[in-house]
Amino acid sequence: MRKSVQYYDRDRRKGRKYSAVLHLLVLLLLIFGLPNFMMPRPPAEPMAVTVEILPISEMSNVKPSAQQPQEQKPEESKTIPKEAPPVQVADDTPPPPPSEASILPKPTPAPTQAPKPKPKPKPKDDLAAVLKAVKETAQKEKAKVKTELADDNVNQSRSTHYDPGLPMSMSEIDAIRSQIAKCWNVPSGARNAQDLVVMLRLQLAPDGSLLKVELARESESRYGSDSFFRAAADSARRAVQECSPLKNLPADKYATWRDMEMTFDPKEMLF
Amino acid sequence: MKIRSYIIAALSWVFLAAPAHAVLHIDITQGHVEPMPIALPDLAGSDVGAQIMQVVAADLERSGLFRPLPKDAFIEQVTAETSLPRFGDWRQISAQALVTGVAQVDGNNIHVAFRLWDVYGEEQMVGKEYNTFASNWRRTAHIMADAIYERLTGENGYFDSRIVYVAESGPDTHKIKRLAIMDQDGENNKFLTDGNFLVLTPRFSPNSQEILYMSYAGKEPRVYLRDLQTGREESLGTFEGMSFAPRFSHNGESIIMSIANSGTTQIYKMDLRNRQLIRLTSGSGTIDTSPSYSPDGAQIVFNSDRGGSQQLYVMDANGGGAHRISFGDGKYGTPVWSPRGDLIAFTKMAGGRFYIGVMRPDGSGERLLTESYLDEGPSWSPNGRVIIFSRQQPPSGGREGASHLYTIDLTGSNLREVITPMDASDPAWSPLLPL
Repeated sequence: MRKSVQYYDRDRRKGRKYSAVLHLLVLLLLIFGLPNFMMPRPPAEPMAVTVEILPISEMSNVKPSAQQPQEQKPEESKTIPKEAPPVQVADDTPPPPPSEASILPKPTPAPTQAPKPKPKPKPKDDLAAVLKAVKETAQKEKAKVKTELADDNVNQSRSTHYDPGLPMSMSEIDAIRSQIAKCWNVPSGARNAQDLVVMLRLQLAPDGSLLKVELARESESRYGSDSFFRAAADSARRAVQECSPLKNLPADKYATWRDMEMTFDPKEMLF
Repeated sequence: MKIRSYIIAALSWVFLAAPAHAVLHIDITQGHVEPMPIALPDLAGSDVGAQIMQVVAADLERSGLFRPLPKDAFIEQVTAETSLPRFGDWRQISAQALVTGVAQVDGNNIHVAFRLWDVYGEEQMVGKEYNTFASNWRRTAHIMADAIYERLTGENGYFDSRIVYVAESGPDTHKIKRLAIMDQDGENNKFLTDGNFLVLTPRFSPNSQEILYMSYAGKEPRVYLRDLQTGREESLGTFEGMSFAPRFSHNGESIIMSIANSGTTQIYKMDLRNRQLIRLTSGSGTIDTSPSYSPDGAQIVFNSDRGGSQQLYVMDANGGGAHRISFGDGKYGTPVWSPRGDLIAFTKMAGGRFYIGVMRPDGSGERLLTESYLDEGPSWSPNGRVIIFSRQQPPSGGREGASHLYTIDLTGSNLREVITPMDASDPAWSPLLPL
């Protein structure tokens, strides 16, 4: 009986301890927000802001020579999908109906292995130790990402900070824009051409070549039903395909430009 | 123990959760407008395959939207056995689209099958086949060009269509004007009348089988209806005064035209089944003419001098609610509603020059597409993308200038002459021919 009370007390004390620590933690979280080790640490000067305001920022203008990885790693570019023909052609049979529903539905390999956070902290008796373990794992993961990506670029990049999530500068975005503009043959003269705004989702390899392009989901049904839209979407898709590989992409920002959304809006190009 | 592992899991999640991945977004608002490079190797299987592809290439090239690539640049030679093109070879010569196929002649019949390929997407966009009389090879080529055009532009085609016009010959004082008809590319020209009477303003019916026009065959100029297959011609009634500027309604069941009587010109509608005549405009001493239905038949655009100068007006099909839509300098005439419904083409006269222009049905967005000494009489291609009109040269050496037919894209680019055997005016483009 006495023994059980003792146990009861001890459990209760333990519970209070946990409760207090957790409450404190919640309070700290409320005050300081969620700590995030995956998030890039802001550099000494607030770069993202300057990049947006200045047309060309010193930081972002550093060209990490994106061509070099291309030369060094030719196997990367082999991931461009050029595989089985999409249409089966049988001799002397009526042509199959055009496969119109899909806009380049090609299976493509993922560009690089996305870091998989698999924390395996060893449970220890002390909570502090638990936290420490968690922290350590997070840092390890971060370091892993860093080395994985940096392997490609560390020698080419002249930027002092490495950060996979660096925002693109205006000049870098403009460089992409001007390349695509040269490849985009705008459908002009279509009825209500100003409404033919097409959004594509792109996935790029580290050398800038196109791995995957697809129509944004919300446009898929329109592709099937609106012939003007279909022609406009095809012209946008051809522009992206013709422009592959995109040149002069900042290699150290691969994580930023690996996945892209492009909106093709012809309204400034109307007669 | 359990609690502890929960805590670890929860904390791990908090610390390790990746930030919501913000996808880079780029707006592309600039591109270029130029003809799409397309590879059109001869259809395999017979000599007619080359002839067909020549017509297809000419159609696509004339549209101004395509640039057929020179055949000597082709790397891959397409044969009847080619089932899947080597797309890399076609990308090499910058072809964005490719057409392959066969044409087989079997006695009097011909079998044509083709596929349109997306060279970058490496997939088939269109596949069609046709079986017809060998003598129809030219029309087959136009139908094929339409299929290619439709898939790549999203617009309906217009190559399988015809143009009726007034062929002019002889000296200025005794000009012979005959009705003539030809394919839209100027081939297969035929004369419909012998030139004994003056004819003007021919117009196609919606089924392309009949034409309306004005002729001086009787005592007074009148509107006539002609069946193109039988050649039968009939006058659409005698009225007090001259009847002219006829056009079919959208469904071909009625026509609208102008009748001029003692200084006043009004617009009338005639039901072709019972020949009943209904007056749509009213007024005295004014000229309301050149009516044209909207493609849905709900409205009519016409020109009128009721406000002092000749301007464009739109009214309901029953004649009510007329309102002015043209407000620019100069005079406006011969409005014609696009079959697409989005624009009205017109002739404009300002500062001693003539223009062909377009505006939206509410009068906004006026754009002038051409300018010359005398441009007039616009008529839309069946898809509402191209306008044909006649252009007369200024007089020289005491003689009237020659008149010829031209086409212009509604963007104002790609001005082309349509070659006719003799001088030509008053063109009217047919709808797509019935298959």
